[in-house]
Order: sequence, then structure tokens, then C-alpha cells
Amino acid sequence: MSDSEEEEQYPFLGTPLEPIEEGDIPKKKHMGVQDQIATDKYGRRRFHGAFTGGFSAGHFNSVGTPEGWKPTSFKSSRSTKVDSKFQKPEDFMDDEDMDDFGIAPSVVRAKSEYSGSRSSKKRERVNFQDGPIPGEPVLQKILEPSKDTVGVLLLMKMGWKPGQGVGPRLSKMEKRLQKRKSKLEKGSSTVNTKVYGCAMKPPSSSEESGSDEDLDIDTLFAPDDVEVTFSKPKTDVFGMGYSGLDRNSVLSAKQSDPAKAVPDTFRLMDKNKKLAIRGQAFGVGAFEEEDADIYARDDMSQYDFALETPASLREKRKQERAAKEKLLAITGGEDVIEGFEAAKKPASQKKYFPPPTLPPGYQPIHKARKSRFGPERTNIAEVKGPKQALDAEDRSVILGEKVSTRKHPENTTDENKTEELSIPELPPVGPVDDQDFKPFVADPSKQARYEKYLQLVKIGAKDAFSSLQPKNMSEWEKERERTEFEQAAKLYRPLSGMMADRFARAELPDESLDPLAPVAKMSHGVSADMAAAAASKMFGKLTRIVEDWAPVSLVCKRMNIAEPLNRGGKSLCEIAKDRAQPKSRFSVFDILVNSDDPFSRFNKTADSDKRTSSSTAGEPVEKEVLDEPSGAEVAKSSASEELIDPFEKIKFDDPAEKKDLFKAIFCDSEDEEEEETPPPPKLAPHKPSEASQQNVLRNTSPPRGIFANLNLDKLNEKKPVISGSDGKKEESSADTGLPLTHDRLNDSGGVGSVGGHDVAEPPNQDMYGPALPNRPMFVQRHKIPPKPVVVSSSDSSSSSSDEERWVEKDSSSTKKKKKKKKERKKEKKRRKSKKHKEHKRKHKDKKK
Amino acid sequence: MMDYKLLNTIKCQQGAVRKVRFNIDGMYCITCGSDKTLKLWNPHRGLFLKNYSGHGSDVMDACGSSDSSQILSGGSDRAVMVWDVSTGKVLRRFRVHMSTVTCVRFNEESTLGFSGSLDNAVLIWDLRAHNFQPVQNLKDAKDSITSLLVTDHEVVTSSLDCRIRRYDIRSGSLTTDFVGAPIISANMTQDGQCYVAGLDDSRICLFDKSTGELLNEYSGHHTGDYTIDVAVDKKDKVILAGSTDSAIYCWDLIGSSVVNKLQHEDGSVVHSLHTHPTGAFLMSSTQSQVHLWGEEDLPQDD
Repeated sequence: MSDSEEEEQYPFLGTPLEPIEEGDIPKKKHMGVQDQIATDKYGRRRFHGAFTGGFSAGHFNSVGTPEGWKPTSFKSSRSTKVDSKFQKPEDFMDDEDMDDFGIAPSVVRAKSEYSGSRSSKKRERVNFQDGPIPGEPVLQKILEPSKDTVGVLLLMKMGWKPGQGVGPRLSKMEKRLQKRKSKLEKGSSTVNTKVYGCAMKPPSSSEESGSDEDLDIDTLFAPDDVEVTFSKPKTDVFGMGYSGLDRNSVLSAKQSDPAKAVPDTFRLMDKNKKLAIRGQAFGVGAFEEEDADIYARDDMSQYDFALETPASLREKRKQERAAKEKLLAITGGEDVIEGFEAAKKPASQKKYFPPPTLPPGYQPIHKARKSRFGPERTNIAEVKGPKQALDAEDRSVILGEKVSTRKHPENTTDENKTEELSIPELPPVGPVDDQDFKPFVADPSKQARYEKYLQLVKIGAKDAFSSLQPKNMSEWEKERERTEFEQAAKLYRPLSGMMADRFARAELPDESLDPLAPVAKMSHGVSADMAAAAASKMFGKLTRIVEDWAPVSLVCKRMNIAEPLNRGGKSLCEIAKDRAQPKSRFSVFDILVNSDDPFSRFNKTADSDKRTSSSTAGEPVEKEVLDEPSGAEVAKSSASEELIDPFEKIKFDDPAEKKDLFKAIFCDSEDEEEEETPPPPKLAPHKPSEASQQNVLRNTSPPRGIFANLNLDKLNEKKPVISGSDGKKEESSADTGLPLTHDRLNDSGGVGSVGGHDVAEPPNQDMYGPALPNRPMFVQRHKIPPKPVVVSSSDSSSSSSDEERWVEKDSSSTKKKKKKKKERKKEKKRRKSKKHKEHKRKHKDKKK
Repeated sequence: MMDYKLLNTIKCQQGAVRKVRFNIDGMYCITCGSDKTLKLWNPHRGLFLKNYSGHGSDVMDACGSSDSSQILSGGSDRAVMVWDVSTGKVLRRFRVHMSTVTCVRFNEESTLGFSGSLDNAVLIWDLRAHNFQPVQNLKDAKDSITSLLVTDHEVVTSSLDCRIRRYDIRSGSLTTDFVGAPIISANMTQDGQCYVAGLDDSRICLFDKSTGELLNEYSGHHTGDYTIDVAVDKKDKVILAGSTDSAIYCWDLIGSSVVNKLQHEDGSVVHSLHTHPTGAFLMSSTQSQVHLWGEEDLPQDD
């Protein structure tokens, strides 16, 4: 075939492109894929964002424009009401979606009511015509447009009618043959249909026979319609031919009903919507040893759903019975093993003795009781018990070393005893109104100490409290207890004032257990005579109480009344206001602020530690004070009023009276020396070896004026060994002081010669040295070898410790003056107590 | 003497009427209802004027101010309130009392409010300032305050602790009189010289204010367990008190004999009564009704 022939054969569509001329270069560069932009029909960009793959966004593709996502404005007024607007899906769709190729093309279509489709979702109402013609509306079929498909239409055009089969026309005979053939096929499929009773005559045959005779052989008929068989789709994922197990037993009626034996492999359980899989696949697994009966029909009843099945239980029972029989065989029919005999009498039961009940308050610790008259147990090992480790002090006692300064000889005895001793009897100071408040009830000794503390606070002798604390307490503990007491006292005081008017004591016993108990009428503090007067109707003076009452000034102002005045002409309102003001609210912060901060406490502790070492000389004296029960007695006997005795002072609450005490504590030693007037020299020293005796001698010196001239520092200065530690005093020395003192002392006591101060006479110093005014004495001691100064054992030890302390101090001579002052104060205190002791001694002597 | 007739009966429709009080000139009356409202009436013409609602619970007592522009009320919601009469708005609301407020009073110029309560306290409120704390607290009573009277220079309180206390602002003194029985209600004679104390043992005692002596005693009525007001008529001749037998007992002040009994028809307890400040009228309340008694109709000038 030639080309022209070929060309003729092909039809051409469209307009041909202009032929590209040779040498002509395409003007436009080919656009890359990245440059190609999808646009909608208006030329707007269709995809946005998300790597330009997003769909057109916003109402009318408005994202990115100033109007993007602009919310619609809503306006409605009484005159122009906005009719309720319903949003349609189209509002959210793009125009393209409604196009022919969009997801929801908008095409002109007949509405369902005209299309007459029965497949509408609405269930068709069965409506019977009221008109003359019953049944379906006659004209509906005509009105209904055809909805048949093209194929049907074509078939109909070709002469096919609904209900007929497709194919060439057949004669009667041919048709019958075909029918029989199909019936055979069908019969094989419907083998299972059971028919009970007499089988009916197949209706078709009679029909056929009847028609056979009537009709011509030449007449052709349309073939019968072939029934379309649909294959069941496979919806599960099981293997081919797998069928689920039936719940019901194989033999059950349900199972036996073949119609219901639907081979459903799996199905949803009715309510639980659980996928329950049951069934059995044909064939045997690779690991199965032998072929199971593949034709057996399995069901769930053949599976066990519990560990113990009736069968297993039966088995078990069987085994038990066998064991029992075996045992019976051994025992020979009886319950006793052969060779044994059953006991005639039952074994006697052991009697049970319950443990004794403990008496109430029993403590499982044995405390050795000490005879009151027996000798004190000094054996430490015995006292402490073998288990307790000995401490350094115990060991020193055992070895016969010098008794440690802190440890008191008596400390080795029972601890309780020490505590008892340490709290002397204070003369009761007025009524103690704080008796209700017992913060330390748990520890009676502590409570007792707290009460003592309160008493001391009341008289202003707070510092004396340390002497009341038990010796076995460490300084730190003492300090802590003291602060504890301080806070407890603080805490309680405001409470007693503030809370008093807020709470009332219960007048009636609490009948909380019996709510129905009758409650007596409250008397409200009605005195008996008032009640009696009211009862006898003697109203008047007896039942009337007139008190002062102050209105608030604002009330007076509002009532147009001048503020009431008291007798002094002062406004009652103001007085009441003033009275109300100091009664400030109790705050926890008061306590917090007042309480020592940790740092100051540490400082204190450090100070007190120093004191411990320094104040040891005073302790034995304190001890004696404690031994003496009645300090007041001593005070009575002492002629000197100025003697500072804390227990005597207890009587006076006047702060002016306490001035001496304060001075003694807080003033410089120099001032004190001047002020202090020693008690008159009534007694000759009986025990010159006692260090404290020296004070008595000093006290015998003449009155103040002259005594004031005595400058002990001067004396010290005279000594060749004076140190610079008390330089201040030394500078203010007066030459005249020394001889005068000499005279006076000699005049007064005779025994207390000034030689005590004189270093030139060492033997004298042995006698009087320790009792001299402390500060100069320390200086002396420091320089004089300590050994010759031997007084009592306790004193010597204390002095030695003192000396050590002072040596240390000297070595570090850069210590601040403040500290020195403190030391001095302490010294003073000690001296005071010493004096006190001396007085007592004097008193004793007198008695003798 | 005391030939009062029942002139008017008003059904208040506000639950139980706790108290009925005349205003300063006796033209109007205030009823305190148990439905948390106060109502203002013209009892002479039986007119309902205004409703004041805002209390959280029963209104226990109310008092009109001297210029009739304000109402002071106290209720069992523990609040003391000041109302504006014309607008019906709450001007002040004091919530300091710890229990039901039983009685409220203005002072003469209505610059101070006084309130007594079951919490044993009498609080004084400054109504001029916007201070919501009391200016003074009279907490001498040991039991609930039952009634409160304020004169030009005195505050008299009666309490269940059997005492009448008189706080004299002028002299700065508190006079306490023990009367021997809990006082349910107290009042003063119009001349201000005597206390009238209704005691819980169905007695009414007349005490001399200056000496505290018992002047007279009245009995015959029954108080039961109710708080029943006592009153003195305008001319200081008759002592009036409600009773459980639905009558107002009228005693001759001097003779102490029952001169009249104003019987109510509804048969319930007469618990609140108040005498007209100037005329011969009397308001009483039984259950949800209030009754106006008087010698004749008010010569109205309207």
C-alpha cells in the first residue's frame, strides 16, 4: 500500500501544529516542573503551603490575601432581623469541587421523587389507593421515567422482554430438554432438602404434559431465564475450607439441623462484639504425629475449659480410694497399724499455767536501793554497773588522781541524788499564779527547775539559776535548758493575759457521754446573797452592781454627749483606749524575735565554756550553799545589809533594792570594790587554811570611806611578779593605798595580816592566798609556783585549773578587754557566793 | 381604760411575722418576716408599700430611723442591714455578729446602730462612716441579748443571764441589775424611769431605773416558750404583754390588775406588739398577720 492510501484511511482530528521550520529555535525555554503552578479556572494558584502541596485555603482561596479567613460580620437589629442561616457543606467547598470533575459535581438531575427510584433510603410507604382502582397507581408507571440501563434498552429493542431468557428461540421439545438438564444440575445442589411425608407430584411435569398437547411443534419460545448464581465472597483470612467449631455439641438438635449448620468460620458474638474464633481446619499440622480423623466433626464440647474436668475428678477420686484401701490393707481393717494397740485411756493433758499478770506501773529494770544510813557507794564499777564503760573521770577517781574540776565527788553516786541536791529549797515567793501551766510535766525535776526559774525571774535573779541546774548537765545543756525556760516563760505570760478573757473555765462537768443529761441552769457567777435577794424580791442595792464603763469616744460624739470624765478630769474614753493599747495581740513572732538566734547562742556557749573552766573555784562554794537549806536564816544573822545574797534578796521585789545585785553583776570590779562593804569582823577565823576565810577577814575592815582607799592593784604592783594583764588597774595606782590597808587590816582582824598580799612572805600566803580578792590573786598565782598554795583539796585543784587558764590567757595577751570584763564579772559572782558561804560558816560557828 | 378595738388586720404573706414595729411617727409599720423579707405597711389604711428583700434568713427585728429614710434590720443570717426606705436598696450590711441578731435600734439621730445578738454581744455601728467593723462591742452579757433600748444617753440591754444592763454614756458607768430570772423582753416606761421586764416564768416586773428596786409585778398571762414582747402604753398607765392564749393582757400599772384582754380571733400566740409613739394605737402580730388596735380611727389628714 502506498502512503497516500494510508493517509486516506486515517481520519484527522483537530488543527495541525504549524510545522517547525528548520533553523527555528523555540523562543520560550521549557518550563521546569518546579515552575509549573497549578491554577484554578480563574488563574489563581491552587496549592498553597506545606511545600506548596496544600489545597487552596480559606474562603474563596483567600488565605494570603488581606481578607484571608475574614470572619463574617453579624448584624441584626429589631427592624432588620437576620434570618437564621444554615451552613451547607458547599460553604466549605471550593468552586472546583462543584465542577464536573470535582468531588461533588453539580449537574442537573431529576429529583428522586421524579426519578421514581425505589432505592431511595427512605422506606417506601405502603399506601393503598383510595380511588376506584386498587393496587399500585396506574399512571405511575407511565409517569416514571425509564431508569433502565442502555443494555436493557438495547435488548428490549431487539425483542427481549423482562422475564425471558437471552438467546435464540427454542421449540417446545428443545426447551423441555434444556429444563430437564438444568433440573438435574439443580437437584444435585439441593440434595439436602428433606421432605417429610408423601412426596408431592412434581408440578412441572403435569404442566408440561398439558401444554404439550395444545401447542404446535413449530412454535418457538423464548428460552427460560437463567438464574444467576453468585459466588460467596471470602471475607476472612483463614485458610481455605476452614470452618468454625460449633458451640453446640455434635449430637445436639441444633447441630443436627442441616439448614442451620451454617459453616460460619467466625462471627461476632452477639453482645460483647468480641471476635470469637472457633473451628477446625482440615488437614494435619506438620508436627502432628498421626492423622486425626479428618472427617470427624469437632465442636466446643470436646474441649476442656478448666483444669479439673469431671473426668479428671473422677480419676482423682479413684486414686484416693485406692490409697485408702491400701492403708486399710496394712492396718488390717482397723485404724491401728499392726503391732500397735489403740490406747484405752486418753493421754493426760498438760496443765497450762498462764504467765503472771504484771502489776500496773511495773518497770522491767532493777534499781538497787541504797540504804539511807549505809555508806555511800563509791566504787564506780559497782555504781555504774559492769556493762557501762568507764569514762575518763571515773578512771581518774580509780587511779587516785586529782578530782576533775567539773566532776563533783558526789557525782559518782546516783544521778538522781545529785539532781535533788542541786535544787535547794527556795523560800516561797508570793503566790505562784502560773501553777496551771506546766510545760515540763513529763520531767518532774525539770518542771521543778522551771518553777524555780520562774521564781528567780520574778525576783530578778535570773543568773542564779545556773546554780540550780544539776551538776551533771553539760554547759551546753544548761544553756539550752535556760533558753528553753526563757521561751516557755515568755510564751506563757502573754497567754495568761490575753487568753484569760477569751476562755472561761467549764462550770459544769462535761457530760459528753450522756447528751441527754439535764443541764443545770447557769448561775453566771451570781453570788448566793444576790440570788437570795432576788428570790425574796429584795431588789435594789443587793442586786445592783455599778461598774465603770467607758464608751468609745466616737459613740459619745455620735450621741452628742461629752465624753465622761473620771475624778481626775481625764476622759474615760482615753483611759480605756490607753489601757486597751498595750494589750497587743499575742504573736508567735514576738517569741521568735526575742529568742536567741543560733549565732548568738553559739557565742554564748563558747563563753560559758570558758566560764566552766574559770568558775570552778566557785563551785564548791555553791555546793555548800546548796547544802544549807535555809538561806533566809543565814541572812537574818548577818548584820550586813549590803551583803549580796541571792536567796536573801528574794524577799525584795523593788528594783532599787536589787541595784546592788545588778551592780555586782554588771559593773566593773573596781566600782564594786569601792562599794562593797565587808561584814563586820565578828568572828575570828577558825579555819585559817580555808580559802574562803580570807573574805571574812577582809570584811572586817573599817567602813567604806577608808576602805575605798585600799587599792589592791597597788599592792599587786608592788609585787615583783606582776603581769600586764591588769594593766588598767595598775596604772591607776596610788602610793598611799598600801600602808593604809596594812594598818586597817591589822587593826580589824589581826589574823588577816596584809602579808597575805605580800609576796615577800610566802608562808602567809599559804594561809590566806586563795581567799584574797580574786583578780590580784590570780596575778599572784600566776607568777608564784602553784604547789606551795595548798588549801583544801578541792580548792587547790580549782586554783590550779585557774592558773592554767590564766597562763593560757597571758600567752595570748591580745585578748579583748570585753572578755576580761566578763571574766571579772564571773569572778565577782564567785566571790559573792564565797562570801555567802563564809557567812554561813560564821553562823555555824556562832551556834557552836 | 384600754378599750381598744381591732381596727385592721393585715395578712402579710411573708411567713411568720417575727416583729412588728411602728415607724417614728406611727404612720407606717414594718413587719419582719420569716421569708427573709421586710415589709412596709400603712396599717391604718391597710396598704402594702414596699418589700425589702436581701436578708439571708429570717428577719428578727427592725427599726425605722428618725427621719424615716432608713430601716435598720437584723436577722438570723447574723447580718445587720441598713435599708433605704424609698429605693429598697441595702445601704450597709454588717456581718460581725456570730449568731442570730435578735434586736436592733437606732440612736436618736440615727447616726448609730445598735444590735444585740444571741452571741451575747451588743455591737454599736457607726452609720455615718463606711466602716464595717463595730465602733464598740458591749460584751458584758453572759447570755443572749433579748432586747435593747436606746435613749438619749443610755443603752439598756436585757439578757437571758437574768440581768438588765444600763450603759450610761454620760457618766461612763454600767449598772447591772439582777432580776432573778431570764428576761425575755424588756421595755421602758415612756418617762424613762422604769424598766418593764418580761421574765420567762410568765411574770412581768417593773423596776425602778435609778435604784433597781422592784416596783410592781404583773402576772396572769402565759409566755410558754415564746419570745413575747412587753410594752407600756402612751400614757404610762397600762402594761401590755402578749400571751400564748391569743390575747394581749393589759395591766393597770399601779394596781397590777388585768384591766383588759384584747382577744385575737385566730387563736395563736401574740408574740410581738408595739405601741404607737404618739396616739392610742397598738400593733400586734400573730403568726402571719398583724393587727392594729386603737380607740378610734386615726384622724387622717389625707
